[in-house]
Amino acid sequence: MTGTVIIACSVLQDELDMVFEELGYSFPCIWIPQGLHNTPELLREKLQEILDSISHAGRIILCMGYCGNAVLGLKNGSCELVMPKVEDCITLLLGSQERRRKMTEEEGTYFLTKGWIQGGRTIWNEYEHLKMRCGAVRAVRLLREMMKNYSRLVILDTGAYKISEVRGEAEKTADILALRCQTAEGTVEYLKELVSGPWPEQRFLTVPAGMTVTEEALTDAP
Amino acid sequence: MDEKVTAVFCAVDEGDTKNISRIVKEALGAGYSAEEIMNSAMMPAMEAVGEKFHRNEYFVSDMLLSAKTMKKGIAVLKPYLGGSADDSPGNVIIGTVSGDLHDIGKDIVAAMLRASGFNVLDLGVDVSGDEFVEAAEKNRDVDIVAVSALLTATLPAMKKIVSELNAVKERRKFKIMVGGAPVTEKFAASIKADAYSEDAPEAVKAARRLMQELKEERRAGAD
Repeated sequence: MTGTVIIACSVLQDELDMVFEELGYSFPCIWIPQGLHNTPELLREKLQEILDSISHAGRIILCMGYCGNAVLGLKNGSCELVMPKVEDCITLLLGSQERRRKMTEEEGTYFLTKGWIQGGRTIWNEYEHLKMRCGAVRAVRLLREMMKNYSRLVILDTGAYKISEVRGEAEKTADILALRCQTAEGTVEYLKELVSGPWPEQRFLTVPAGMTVTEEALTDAP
Repeated sequence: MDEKVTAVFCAVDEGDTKNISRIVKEALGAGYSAEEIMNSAMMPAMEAVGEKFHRNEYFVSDMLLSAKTMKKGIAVLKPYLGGSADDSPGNVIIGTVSGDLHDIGKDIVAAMLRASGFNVLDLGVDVSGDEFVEAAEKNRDVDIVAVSALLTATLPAMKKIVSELNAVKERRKFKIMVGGAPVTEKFAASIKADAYSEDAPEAVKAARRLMQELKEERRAGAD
């Protein structure tokens, strides 16, 4: 697999490092700042800018999800582009859309990983920002209103970090949001498949060279 | 724009829930109509907020504060907005599709539709196709069913829901509009929705357009 380049969301850094260690090889990585999922248009622009800048790759692997259709309309260059058929990085680390659906159907679940807790714009950042604007009491009330459809916060244990490193922060966030805090097993297996191949159509979208990521491709549910 | 109306714009833009009621009353007191305050200040302010959010300048909570400010301002305007439920421009049912718990955008759309005179029945989040269909069947005077989604993974559910609603449309006349971050105009057309809007102010414009189409279709049907 010569000439593979990875474009990855920095939220997956711990997990990707673990995958490279387990595989015994790695590829050059271009990191996207975390949090751009809030602005899919900006994320798309950033991705396209990166794709356009890569001229000598044999294959480009996108380590992220569709992220609010941010990948829709991406124009591929002179090599194949591969991405997982997942909503976002959480589904990637849960291992499948089915598991994501099942856990969400059980109850409204807000998922966190170490990457989420320590990266860009988190719920805790929202709280700190709101607290500055309107005081702690009101900030808590507004955030709980925002999260009213959720009843639990789940820290995903992907094996890429110790849960003890993030439990305090997660519990603090859960407390503010009046959510129960739980841990659930995550997995890097889907990420490992993404990096190493093969890429069966059921779980991966492969965009041939010179093609564009279409709506049909993204709404073909896995 | 006079400073009284500008003040309303700024209050919504900045999420000033504390002062919005006073500021709106001052604008009314200065002789501005409720419609003028809605259309010249509040709706443009929410458009500006949406643009700031899309540029990553505003947090989600900033958008929520602005939405709450707008709702509070609308509550002051309501008695002056003119018309009654009978004069409403239309009846809308709105909900977020099954599998999706996001409601901030939907709530803003619902608030702006109500402020524009529409009667809105909000089905909430995680609404199945059966629930949408049941609501459309039960509320025989529905004009528009608005379907919202934020997760790309729920787009297949939106497609199914719109298909089920289109089956009801063969028996009853109403329109279907869709929206939400992953929804595009092309997707909306491909699933045979009647309209698509990319944000709350556009949703109001689309709703008004759909009502016009509906009136003409119903008139043509009666002729």
